[in-house]
Amino acid sequence: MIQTDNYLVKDHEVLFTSMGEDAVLLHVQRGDYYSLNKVGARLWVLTDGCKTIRELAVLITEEFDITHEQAENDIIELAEQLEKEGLVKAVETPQNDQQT
Amino acid sequence: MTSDSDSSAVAELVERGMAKHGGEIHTGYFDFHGVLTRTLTNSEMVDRAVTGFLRAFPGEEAEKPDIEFHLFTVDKLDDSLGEIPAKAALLYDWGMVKIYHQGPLRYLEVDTQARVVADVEKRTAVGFAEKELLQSDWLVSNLFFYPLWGQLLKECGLFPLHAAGLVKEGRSCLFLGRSGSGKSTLTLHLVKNGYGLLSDDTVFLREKDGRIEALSFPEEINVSEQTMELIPELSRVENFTVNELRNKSSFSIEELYPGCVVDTSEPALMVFPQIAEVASTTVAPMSRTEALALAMRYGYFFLDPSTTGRHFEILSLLARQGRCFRLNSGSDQEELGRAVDRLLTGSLEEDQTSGGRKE
Repeated sequence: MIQTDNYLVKDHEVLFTSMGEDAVLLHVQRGDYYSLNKVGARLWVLTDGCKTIRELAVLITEEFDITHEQAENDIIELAEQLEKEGLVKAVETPQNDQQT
Repeated sequence: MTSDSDSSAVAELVERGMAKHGGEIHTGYFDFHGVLTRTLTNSEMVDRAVTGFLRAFPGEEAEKPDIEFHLFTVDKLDDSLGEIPAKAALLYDWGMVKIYHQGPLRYLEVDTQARVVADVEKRTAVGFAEKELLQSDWLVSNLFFYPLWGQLLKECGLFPLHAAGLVKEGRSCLFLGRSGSGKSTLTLHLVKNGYGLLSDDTVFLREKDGRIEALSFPEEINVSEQTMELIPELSRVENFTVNELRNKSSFSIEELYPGCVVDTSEPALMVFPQIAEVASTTVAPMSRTEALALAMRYGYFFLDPSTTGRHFEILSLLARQGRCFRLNSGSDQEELGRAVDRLLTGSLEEDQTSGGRKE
């Protein structure tokens, strides 16, 4: 279960491309792709391995019309899906080798 | 290209091939949109097939081509000719045809009858095929030569896309779809109505100054019996080649419409056709995200460790560059051409009124 004090770490094999407001992620090795809506796309860009989900929720709340609690819940829900797809990992310590 | 590759697997195999199966070597040069390929083969039949396949791209002899491709025919393929290492990872499996990779090497295997090894860093390749396998020019060009040559072209910045490309006023419409989705029928309708042709089956994409260009690859057009019935003009074609393996006949479109082939064009539309069992043709907009996801399926050998990232960027740029639609082709054949015409005209007008190109 992902917690709000977890850090999100992107898989190095995942490519990101912005398609207007939306975005597409591609897992290079497997060829699987995943589309993100505008909030998901922004979250991906903000995810750098050094911000907790709580901190990410603060940034998302500043940019979108959404409460902090809702942002945390949405981020956890998306992070769980992305983790299941092998696109991110939730960890307890920050990782600083992530590219945005 | 081979001067510094004496220690490479491909160079060693070329040496082995020359020693065992050399004889008279036929050499060809092909300038494919600025990428020069040299082919060398011990077989007159292979030389003829590849030269026919690339007839639109004759090249000048040169000391250092961008790509060098050796193709040997042999009586019997043995393990000394490009055996696939146990550690090589399977990349594609289409039953009879498999592709593996290990480091910079790519291995294509056609059953037990042909193997091709390519070095994507040195841009060299060597293939061995049993004479019995190569029953037609189509098999030589599409099975023995094209798959790994296409990969080497990607290393040179040219990315193949399974799409027909039609051009009007310098802008093109790409129809992406598998065989049977109606690409050839659409192509024939549009060329008949004055469109220029890049290809009816495969175009190549290249980035130039942040924009995507579509490049021609005018192979012979393959038509089914059904298409022949739909397009009366095809009765004027005198030189059909029957391909029993694919149950289609092919011909050169320039025989019907001389001068229709266009070398390059900037894509303005991505259209995904499908044959619908309905009377009326319909068109529906598609999101760029969905278009990109579908386009990845139509990029040849999209999953290659060396080029997937760049290929993804190229397709992303393409999806952002134009507008994207799904086309459900009905039985109103003449409307097909008009529907595409309206889309492309709309795109041109949009550019003119906005004072620039989309995105």
